Amino acid sequence: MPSDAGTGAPRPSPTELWRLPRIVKLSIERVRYPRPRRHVQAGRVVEVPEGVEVFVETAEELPIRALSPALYIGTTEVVENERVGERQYRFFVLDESTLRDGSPIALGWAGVPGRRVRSSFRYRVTRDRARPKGRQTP
Amino acid sequence: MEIPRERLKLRDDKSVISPPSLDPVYQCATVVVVRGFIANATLDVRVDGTTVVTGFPGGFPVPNGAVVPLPTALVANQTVRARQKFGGATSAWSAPITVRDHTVDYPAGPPRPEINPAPVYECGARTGVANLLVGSEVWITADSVEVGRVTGAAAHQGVNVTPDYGLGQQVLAWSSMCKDPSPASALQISQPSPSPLSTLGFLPVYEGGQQITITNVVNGARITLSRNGIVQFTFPSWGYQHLVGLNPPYSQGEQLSATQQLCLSDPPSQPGTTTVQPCSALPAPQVAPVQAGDTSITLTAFVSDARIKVFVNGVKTGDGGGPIVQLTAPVGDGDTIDVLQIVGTCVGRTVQEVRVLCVAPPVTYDPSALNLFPVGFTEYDGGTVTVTTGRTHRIDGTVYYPAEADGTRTAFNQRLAKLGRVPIAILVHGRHGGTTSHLGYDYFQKQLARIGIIAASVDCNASDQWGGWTDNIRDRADIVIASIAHLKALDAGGDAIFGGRIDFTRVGLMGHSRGGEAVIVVPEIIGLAGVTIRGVISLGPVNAGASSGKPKGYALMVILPASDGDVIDNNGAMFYDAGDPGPFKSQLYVHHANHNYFNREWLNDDTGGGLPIMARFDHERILSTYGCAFFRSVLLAHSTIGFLIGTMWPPGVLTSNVHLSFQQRGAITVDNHEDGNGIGVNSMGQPTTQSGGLTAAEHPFAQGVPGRFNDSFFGNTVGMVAQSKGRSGVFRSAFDTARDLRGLQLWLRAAEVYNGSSVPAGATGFSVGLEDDNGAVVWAASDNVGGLPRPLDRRAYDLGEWYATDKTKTMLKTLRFPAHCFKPVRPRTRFNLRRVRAALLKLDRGDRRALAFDDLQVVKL
Repeated sequence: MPSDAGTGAPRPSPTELWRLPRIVKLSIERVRYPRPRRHVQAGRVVEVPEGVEVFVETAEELPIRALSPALYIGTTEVVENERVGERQYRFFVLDESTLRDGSPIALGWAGVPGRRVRSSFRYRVTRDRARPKGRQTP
Repeated sequence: MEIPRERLKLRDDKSVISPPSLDPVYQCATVVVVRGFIANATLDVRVDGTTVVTGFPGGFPVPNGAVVPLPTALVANQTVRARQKFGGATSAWSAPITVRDHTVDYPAGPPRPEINPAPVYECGARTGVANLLVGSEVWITADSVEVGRVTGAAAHQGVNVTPDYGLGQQVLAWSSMCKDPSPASALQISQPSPSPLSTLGFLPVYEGGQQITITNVVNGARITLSRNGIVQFTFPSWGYQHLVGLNPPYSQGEQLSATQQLCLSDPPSQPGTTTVQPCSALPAPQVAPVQAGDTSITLTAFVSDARIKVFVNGVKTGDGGGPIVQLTAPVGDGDTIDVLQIVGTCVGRTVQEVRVLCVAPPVTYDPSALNLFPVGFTEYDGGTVTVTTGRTHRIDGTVYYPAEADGTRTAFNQRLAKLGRVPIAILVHGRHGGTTSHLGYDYFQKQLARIGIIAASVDCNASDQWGGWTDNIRDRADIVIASIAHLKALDAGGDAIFGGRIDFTRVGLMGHSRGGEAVIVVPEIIGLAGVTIRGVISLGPVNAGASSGKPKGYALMVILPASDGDVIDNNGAMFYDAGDPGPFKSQLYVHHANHNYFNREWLNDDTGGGLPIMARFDHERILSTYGCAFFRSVLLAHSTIGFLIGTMWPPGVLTSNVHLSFQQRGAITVDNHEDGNGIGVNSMGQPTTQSGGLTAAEHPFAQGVPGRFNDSFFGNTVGMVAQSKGRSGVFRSAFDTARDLRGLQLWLRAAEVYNGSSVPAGATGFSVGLEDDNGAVVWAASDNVGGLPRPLDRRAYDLGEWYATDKTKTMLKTLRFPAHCFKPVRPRTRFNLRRVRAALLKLDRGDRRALAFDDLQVVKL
């Protein structure tokens, strides 16, 4: 009887769940919405007439999984986001009060504050579309 | 533990033999099925006090018992008993069973027959049919032509087929009870005969035996059995395993061989052979755990025709046949049970010895196996909905429902519909990407449908691409509500399948991952008139803060995969902790379960092979059995809640991995540590004390909260952590009044605390005490009620992952201490269970480990 031969099946590749890419492009602007944006905070819907948005372009797509990616501005976790294009995401700042100009920006996971992927970008609103020209943030 | 028989002084009273047991019986039956008797005993049957059958030859009790014909058909409410006679002894009559009217138990008709095992093959000559009512009529059709029939069937009945099946025939099984027809079985198409046929095997055969078990049998094959080279007989088999008797009993060294054949034009299989082993090789039987108060023992491994003798504290208390041997008296906590098997004249040299535990739940039935109806399937499309964030999403999904026949868009089951509207369970998946996540619970949907619950799975796949966190959970909840609204419109709008069929006052929800949080949100925001959510299953949920975090107003079940590689914090523990127990809440903390394997479309192991994980099948078994038990309880009022409390276990489930917490409305809380009144006062407003070197304090059992004991707690509650320097550390919690605990139980959530660095070898435990108003004290050990749960060690895995943080958890489970478990240290101590004034916790292991406690309650079950 001829004998079969072969190698074992390869071990599954390490989980890709946690892989976070580099931020390659980032811009921050204040936006006034034609209609207030609706977000959910602490189980309640809040309407936001204007807010700061952080546009992020990453080197790769963010994994789709249960947990959400989060932007860390200083120590503040900014989680609410939407995918706006290939490798492009917009994060919504729902509470500006804890943000400071010049704070470092990193990418991490919501509720997992221990580690982040640092970037060279820092927090500063560079464009203000919420107010008339002449009142732009310097 | 297997020990030599000669070492024991077992008193074998030959006059003591066990009463047999009877399968449930229904009106119109002309047979009863008797089990648990000694092989070759004679059987008597009594109906309403009159002996109607005398001296029926029982044959072998395994596998199907004795099907005993009755002179007249049974009538509802008659009582039936049986007894056995063997070797000059006569058993007592069995406990009476009452003849039931199947239209009461199965108002929509008898259960659906199951061709089991399946599939059937060309040239097959016999087919097994299961899921039958005892005494029913069963028949088989091939291409609509009847090919076999049995009147007075057992629950699992073999039906000989004439002529043999042809290739590609459509084979169905049918049954009726009192001329009331069941639905047809699922369709089987007869398959080509396997070639070559597998070689038959044998289970071990011992000197003195008369029954052999042949394995590897192909469905419908004819088996030819030879003894010492001489053909004995040929018989058809329904397959898998076949037990057959031989006479005279066989002797050591005899050779048995068998072949199987399907089509006569094909060769038979190679012969399988075995040699009869000597008596000295006969092992002791294996015995399932025994619980105080049990009146029978269950064998998990035994020789099929063995006589089983049971000795309780050395006194013969049972003598019958497997797998369940009735006892002549209930066993008590701490009793020693010795079980011996005898095959013909061969008496086992060893016995199996077990100690009776106060709590050792029996393995009962599979709550997901109730099979009443064919299953229809359809998809729905309700257009689009604008969700909270302003985006639009399609309203679509799949529905499985009780039907007239299996298939797509088959008619709704008419008999069930005539009984009234049918409850519905709505399932919602998590965020995994792709387009098919909603299809991954089809196994659960089908099980619910065949039970009689409509099961819809909502397609939220497009929302996976949106991103978002809390907003996305809310959007999912909106999509679920839109689906309910659409199904409601189908119901109200005269839909061909669902028009007037759905009972929206009995709605259940099941969500997984992000869906697991969405189903906590839905009851808080749903505004649809006429919709009442009765129960919610939250499986491996995130907690993004989309809900109040305090589930309320419905029964709750949270399933937490301990080896979750995605939702690594098991955030659902917060929902259980903060949930209101009205009518009840339950939690399953499942060791060696990951995040993905509950969904058939989520193919990868989210731990990437980094943690030991149960097979996908075992994940599905947990959702199937516990999920069906949950929905049957809350939507159909079936008595399946015991699976969630832990008073019984489902078969075929790795229950040793399942750690249950349970709380119900109406319990008396001694201390839940939520009162903010400090460790010195309990929830009854009464004082607590610490003594004997024990130190205890209240801590938040939560992440990142000041005052937490350490970082191994992931819930949302306050509890107590206690440690003791020695073996006599005691925490005393006074009752508000002297309480009568007769027939009650003391419940307590408890766990070994993970120390943050390693899980020490060996389990630990503690004892619970009661103190009466005379100061007398009785104790019960945690080991005697199932044991203290240990942390599931995932440290090495977690530290190797991106987040590099140890997620090994201290996760409490509910331990139940029935009042009869408590024993005094000195046997003659008098204890007044009617006037108990305090509960005690004693850390008596001397290992200084910290233990976590919460929710000390007095409970009436």
